Amino acid sequence: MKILLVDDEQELVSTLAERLEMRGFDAHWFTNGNAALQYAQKEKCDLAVLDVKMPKIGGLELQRQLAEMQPRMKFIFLTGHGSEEDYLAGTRKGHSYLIKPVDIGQLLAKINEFLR
Amino acid sequence: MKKEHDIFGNTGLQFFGKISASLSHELKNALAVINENAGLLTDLVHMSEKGHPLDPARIKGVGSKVMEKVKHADSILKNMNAFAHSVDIPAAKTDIPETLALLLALTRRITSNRGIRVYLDKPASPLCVHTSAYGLLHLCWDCIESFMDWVGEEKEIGLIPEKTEQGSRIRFCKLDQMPSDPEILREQKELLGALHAEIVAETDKKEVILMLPLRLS
Repeated sequence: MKILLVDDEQELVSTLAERLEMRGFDAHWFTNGNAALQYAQKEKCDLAVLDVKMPKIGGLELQRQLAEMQPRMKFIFLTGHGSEEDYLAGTRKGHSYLIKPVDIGQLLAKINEFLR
Repeated sequence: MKKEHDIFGNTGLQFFGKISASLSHELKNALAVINENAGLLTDLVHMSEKGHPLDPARIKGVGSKVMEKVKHADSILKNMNAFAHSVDIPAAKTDIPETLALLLALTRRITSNRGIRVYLDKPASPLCVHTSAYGLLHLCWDCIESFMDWVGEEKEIGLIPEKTEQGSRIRFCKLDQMPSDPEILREQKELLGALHAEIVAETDKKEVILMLPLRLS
């Protein structure tokens, strides 16, 4: 399973990717939306884990553009706030949210939901 | 009482909320990085239990990252504490460059999210006025926030505090896209009044100057 991880906090996203790779996933990380979009133009991905608040292209806008490119891609959002507004905006569209700091167990459970 | 209301009134609370929300987001990110690195250490130990050799340099590297992030989170908390205490006294001796340095640290995430670098030309010696530290932070942030629309290609705003005969001034520079007839802080007349401050646009120099009296009286 190929997973795209995008968060402007490099140490967070790179470590999370490494931990997913240890568990057998093909994880690719980026610190901005543009780099992730460039990658997704060339490579098919199964799932994207996106930070909601990022400079330039935020997670929700990035999701819209990635979904246009790859309609079968699934999405999990990471949020530092867990504000109700963001949560509702996401769940209405059928996406999953995780609140930072991320519990790897919860992330794996969400990934497994998509795998099923 | 009126003066305090002007400084700490509705927009004052909004400013407090905005800064607190941004800092809490920064702290969340720091905690998230610490959490991932702690998780990585656990993962590495689990792998070693399954026969993968444990690389001491790798463990050391992860430990250093955690310590760096703790240091970073501690500096955020120190700034947050200084910000919270800025409301303690309505008016006191306030070092302008120090106050501006605090403001830039508090708002760095907000400005860098807009792709803008705000820098301070710190004078060699302290530059003090008798004013409300919180009011000054709020007013200077309102300036920076509205001037972010006027930055040039370098995407920078320079802050230059200087001494004047009447007190001090802060020059907001490099506002290359400033309109020829700018409206500045139209909604902050009360705050300007409460601090006895004046604001002037120098359109030819692409600067805005905030003038502060030596003391509030």
